[in-house]
Amino acid sequence: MTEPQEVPLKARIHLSHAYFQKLTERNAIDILHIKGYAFGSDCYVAGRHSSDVDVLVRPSDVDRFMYLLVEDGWKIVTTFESGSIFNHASTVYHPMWGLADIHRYFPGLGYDDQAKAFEQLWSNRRYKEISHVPCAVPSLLDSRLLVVIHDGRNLAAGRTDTAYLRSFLSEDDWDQMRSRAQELEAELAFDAALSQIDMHRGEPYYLLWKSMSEDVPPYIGWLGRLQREKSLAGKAKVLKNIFIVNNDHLAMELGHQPSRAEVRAKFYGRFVALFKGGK
Amino acid sequence: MEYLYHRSSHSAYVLDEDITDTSEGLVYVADLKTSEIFTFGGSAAIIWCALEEPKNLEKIVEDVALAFEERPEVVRPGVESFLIDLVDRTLLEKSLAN
Repeated sequence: MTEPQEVPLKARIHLSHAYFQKLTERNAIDILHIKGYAFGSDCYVAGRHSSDVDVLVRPSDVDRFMYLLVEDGWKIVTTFESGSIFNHASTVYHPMWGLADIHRYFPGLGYDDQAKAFEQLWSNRRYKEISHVPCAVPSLLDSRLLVVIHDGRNLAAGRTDTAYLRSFLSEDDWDQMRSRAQELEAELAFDAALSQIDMHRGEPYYLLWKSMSEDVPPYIGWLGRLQREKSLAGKAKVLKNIFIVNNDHLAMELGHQPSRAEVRAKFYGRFVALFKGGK
Repeated sequence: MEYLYHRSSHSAYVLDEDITDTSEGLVYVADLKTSEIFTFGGSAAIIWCALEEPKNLEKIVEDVALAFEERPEVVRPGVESFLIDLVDRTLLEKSLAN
């Protein structure tokens, strides 16, 4: 057997896609391979590198899938709750396969019915060979739409993937994507990526996406996150997450478990940013 | 009895020429059940690539001999030994030819 560090990262990631496909087939779990090498040159500029695998799991299969991963030697690096403000993905690590992001839903898509959103993608899926194993990926239209929606979480300067699609897709292609965004309840995120988010002023998730796609004071994002939660318990959790440092995230930023001093610095840094009014 | 060798359904592979600009003729072969990756070069890589479709021993020996411009009887022992090893590791499967 070859030691992990002797296998080029790109090879490991390609093979990792095959690993996930076979694992899920053996266990009757539905996943779609997304982003990175799964979308490849259909959606991204040639030579774009990936450092991990992303998969989107049918919501009803998530718990069982995570159980199987842990049983098969994966370590959970960040949980769904600690991974992002959307609580949408868990980062896992395997000594041979490396890092993977397990998505239980895709932010910006089908806000209130994730099971329906997954089924809509699943029913239009195609199969793409990765490491000579057919892997389930979203249709070409859906793949490109997900790329744009993902860019909706970036500031304008960072939307290089959308800029690349703009460089060759026709007006008709963009009209098709908009129609599909409507079907998938993804128009807000779609328009955020196209710098047209203000068309959605007043909608439930407008502030949240505005805070990600434009340079606004941090409290706008906090308000957006609070607005997104419908229950008091959900809102209380958001408040807690806003003010309490996310140790998992900080560990990933720093590359090591944070010390108490580093956690304190991060905590107080939020208030400095708030008073300065920047990100 | 004649046997055909074929890649197991729980194997996957990547050619280094598919992921780099300069190829050393390597193949990275994964056992997706045990999470092991093996690096094949030289005749091992040729044998693996030869199995795009199920083949018997003689055909595989022929492919390797051609690649190295050697006589089949010279390469045969090494090929046979390697195939036995891959079957033991379940990266390859052996089935009776029709």
